[in-house]
Amino acid sequence: MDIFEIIYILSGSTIGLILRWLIKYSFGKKLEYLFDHSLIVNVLSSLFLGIFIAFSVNNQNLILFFYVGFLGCFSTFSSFIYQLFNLIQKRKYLSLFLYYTEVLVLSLLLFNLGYFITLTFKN
Amino acid sequence: MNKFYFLLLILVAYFATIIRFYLNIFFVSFIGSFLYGFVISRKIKNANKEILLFGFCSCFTSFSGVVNFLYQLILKGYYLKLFLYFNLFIILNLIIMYFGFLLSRKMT
Repeated sequence: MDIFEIIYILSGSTIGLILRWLIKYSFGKKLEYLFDHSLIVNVLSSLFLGIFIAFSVNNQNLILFFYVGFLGCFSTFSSFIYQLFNLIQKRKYLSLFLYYTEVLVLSLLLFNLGYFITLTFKN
Repeated sequence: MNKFYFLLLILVAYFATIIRFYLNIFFVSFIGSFLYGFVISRKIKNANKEILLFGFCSCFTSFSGVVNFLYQLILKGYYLKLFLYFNLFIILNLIIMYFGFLLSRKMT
């Protein structure tokens, strides 16, 4: 990996980190556990990924910037697992099931939405 | 929010991003879950916890990588496999997080 590739990745990750920071602290503690900031972040990143895959980019630098840098830092898998873990600890099994289904369905739905809308408008 | 704290957060996130580039998506999420579980039961300052969890763990693991893996399965038409793999993956991650949680409880 040369220095320019590192610069591409790091500039993408800076934008992702700051966006996630803004989303977390602008909504603050107004959000419930069924609709917290990690849900918004993950669903939005699925939408972006769908749009990105539909364009079928061949440029290696753009992949490094957007997929590895931006989306990797913007989306967070461990917070999602922590939410599930937290709900198990509080013994809220119905909320656990609801949250899990919500994330899975919403992210796959928005991924496909972004993918097909982009495919429609591309041609 | 002071500048030093924010600088440290960004540096930690850079470090996590560079390591993630060299590793497999499964490996990354297992390590991330373990570290998250390890950190949440420690008694450390709130700002340091924020740097470790928000900066390191969240930048280290990526949900979009998992969605990309699911998309590869959808392309091949393995819908049942998709459902099974995703559930298995989540349960494994939860167990590993619990393991990290217990380990850090034992150490104190």
